[in-house]
Amino acid sequence: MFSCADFLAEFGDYLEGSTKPGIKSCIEEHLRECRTCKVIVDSTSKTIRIVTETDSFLLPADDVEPIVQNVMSRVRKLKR
Amino acid sequence: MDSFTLAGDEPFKRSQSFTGSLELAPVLSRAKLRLPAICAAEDALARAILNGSNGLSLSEQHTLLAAAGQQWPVPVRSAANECVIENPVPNDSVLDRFGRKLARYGPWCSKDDCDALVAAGYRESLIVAAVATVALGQLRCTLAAGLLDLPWPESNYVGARDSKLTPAWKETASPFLAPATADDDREQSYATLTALFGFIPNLIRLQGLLPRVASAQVELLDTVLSPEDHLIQTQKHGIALSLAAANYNTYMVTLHGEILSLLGVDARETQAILDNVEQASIADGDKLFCMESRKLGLLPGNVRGPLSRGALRTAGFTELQVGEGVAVAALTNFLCTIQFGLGAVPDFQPLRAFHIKDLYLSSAETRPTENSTCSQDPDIELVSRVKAGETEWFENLVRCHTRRIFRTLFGMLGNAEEARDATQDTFLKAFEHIDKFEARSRFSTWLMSIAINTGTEQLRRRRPIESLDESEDEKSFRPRQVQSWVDDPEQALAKSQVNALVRKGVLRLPEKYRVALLLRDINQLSTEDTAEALGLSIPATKARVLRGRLMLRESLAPHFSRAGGDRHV
Repeated sequence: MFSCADFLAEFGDYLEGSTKPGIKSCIEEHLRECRTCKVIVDSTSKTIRIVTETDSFLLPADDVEPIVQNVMSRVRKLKR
Repeated sequence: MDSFTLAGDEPFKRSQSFTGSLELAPVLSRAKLRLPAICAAEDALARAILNGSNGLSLSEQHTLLAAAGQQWPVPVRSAANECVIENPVPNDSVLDRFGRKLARYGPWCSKDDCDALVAAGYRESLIVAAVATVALGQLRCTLAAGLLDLPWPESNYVGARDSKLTPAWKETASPFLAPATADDDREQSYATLTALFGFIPNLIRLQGLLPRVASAQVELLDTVLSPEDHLIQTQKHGIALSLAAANYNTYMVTLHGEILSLLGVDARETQAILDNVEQASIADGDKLFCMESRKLGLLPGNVRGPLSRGALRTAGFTELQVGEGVAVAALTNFLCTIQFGLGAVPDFQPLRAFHIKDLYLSSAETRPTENSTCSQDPDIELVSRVKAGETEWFENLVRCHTRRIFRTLFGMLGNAEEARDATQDTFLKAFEHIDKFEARSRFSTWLMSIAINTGTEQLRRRRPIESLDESEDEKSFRPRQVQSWVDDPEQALAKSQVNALVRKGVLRLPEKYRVALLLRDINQLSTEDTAEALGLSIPATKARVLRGRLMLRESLAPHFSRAGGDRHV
């Protein structure tokens, strides 16, 4: 019997789509029975989607060039 | 004769007597479309490129325009370049062979082709002029094919690629010429570019030896891409992205992908346009325009043919919108040709890197493997140049990787100013130690590991920050929030609120999980590259990424769960 703990142990590979075929069918069978694990799959997938698309740590386009020029100015000094 | 084996040929010595220059009326003026600004910019570009002061003789301009025209059906090239008298037999000079190779087999061009021109007496500015002239020929033919009602023989509909004539693939250093140093004229056109894109594309820098040509291109870029009177910018860049992909041009795909990202287009949508535009979630009319534009592509072996303007009008596009879209396609073919000829390296991490295998689609063709692994790391040529003492190339590496490094450090440190400083420190450390980079991993991965070390050192100097349950180990962690989530959490809150929640949630993660999640999910590195950057095994990396995701899920859950109490596993 595939338990919730078994599911969590395989969950990382399942999210990455790299689960072995035999294990995958066990997981899918477990998810048909276990609402809680099904919620975890759904909400973690949504978390990944949200975090993948986030602009939370974005550097504004206008801020790139000043960094580039500062670095190159320091690089040129280092070279001398 | 259609052979491109340039090496070993007796150098062709070019004539030093210049006989003036060609004048060609804008193709757009013949299409009778009310797009006067684009028509004027097309005219200005032709005048700048065909200007006798660039050093190419009239017969050389003829040769190069004819080379571009050879890739299009006779009615198209006759309409595009009406005053170009074609050589009934190609003159087989070095310049003629260069022009025909660039026009027909652009992705196969290499530094060797430029070197052959140098050996034949062409200085670098003449090579830029030659590349621009072929590109102009492609631009004019694209406009003619897209806007004029011309017969297109069925035999030319599917452009044949004869495997016997396809040149051998040669991997050489890129770019093929060095960028010119700055001067006032260029700085002026660069200012326009900075306003347009936020940066100066390498492609334009490489043409700095002919500032008038570069300026005219900037003017055309601005005139075609900026206004939103007819098509909007996302439609234009979608068309350009789609056509650049049909041309297998990594540089242009990267450029337009980056601009679409800046315009707020979802990365998945951009990928869908590249992979299969029919599956993209854009409007049906826009899909049709993207597919139609690919028919104007440059490479033989792909489906080519006249644009179905009737189908586009039926889809709801006006004549002026169709005209603008064709102008975008012509500009894209122009810039792709310039890139193929000069070998400009992408300004950013490539969105899609086309490799040799993409260019040999027919099973009947040989798939060369020589040096194929070199193209795995798009930065390797730049790194080699920096190692060899050509320090200025480091600027391209900095520009290409700044945002990704900043994003990681901002996520680690939680403070934008500190992240800016740490980003600069990362690049300086990379420069100081670049001789130790042995290409065992990709340069971007090596750089990321320096960034992580830099961020970690900075965190060590701080007092411990608040984090979630750091004492728990991976195995003991259990999800607590198991209330089901709303169907579309991104729509439940404003984007700024979602961003703030993610920022807060990520910053509260313990450092080891936070960095793993930053690399894998926010920077979208593969598991293998994440492991390499972290110096961990694959299983350990997977465990950290999963733990980070689950912990972040816990912190987001209260905001996205449906109403009701929590349950525990």
